[in-house]
Amino acid sequence: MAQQGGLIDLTPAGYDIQVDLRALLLADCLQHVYDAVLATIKVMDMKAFEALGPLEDRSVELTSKLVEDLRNWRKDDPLAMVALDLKL
Amino acid sequence: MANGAEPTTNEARDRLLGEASGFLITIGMGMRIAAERARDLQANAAAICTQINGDLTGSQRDLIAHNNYYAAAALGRQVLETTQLLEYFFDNPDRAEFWLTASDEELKQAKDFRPFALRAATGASNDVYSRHCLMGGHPRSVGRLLLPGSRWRSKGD
Repeated sequence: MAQQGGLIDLTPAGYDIQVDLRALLLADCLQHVYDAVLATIKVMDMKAFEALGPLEDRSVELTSKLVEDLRNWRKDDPLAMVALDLKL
Repeated sequence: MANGAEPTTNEARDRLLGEASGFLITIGMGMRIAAERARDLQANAAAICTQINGDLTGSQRDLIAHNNYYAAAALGRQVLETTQLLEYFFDNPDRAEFWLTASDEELKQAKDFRPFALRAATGASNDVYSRHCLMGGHPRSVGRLLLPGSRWRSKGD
């Protein structure tokens, strides 16, 4: 990754974009929170939603929307496939 | 963007990270309540890991917002390890109970909870883990790339 005035140029990696470090870090966090959310959904059961009381139905809806939003992010954001590698 | 779609902004990435960490915090609490009501040790272990991931990812978001990039990256390795634990508990529920009730010494002796063994058992990438060790999981001089004064950072950032 080359650097130009605070922006990181990903052209050598095959992406026609320049990004800032904040974008790369946010994307790295999203890559891993995506896995964390899916792992959580795999191990949990509906009793966890029931324990939220009146928020149960809304929480189920929001969980579905979150998974959809994360999937769309992975599809739409080129940084979803970029690894931040500090090796010199 | 090559496909003509609107580029993803940092505001959108930040908002989605906030929603995901908020989910982990909230559902982690729900999992804890349900597990304690049922006196289910395996579910309690998964709940605690979920709460840990919620706390870590929410803190990463806060740190990035305050330009503390190195510290945010350092927490990334913890997220990887905690997610590996969740995956391991799913396939080995008896080990979730062990993790919850074992002493620190017993956990150190348990070969299946060593980082390499956990990655092997869950199919997690050694390369990704290694990259996150370098980014801040281990203190290395290359971490300067994330610190103020780095050629990767803008002036005043």
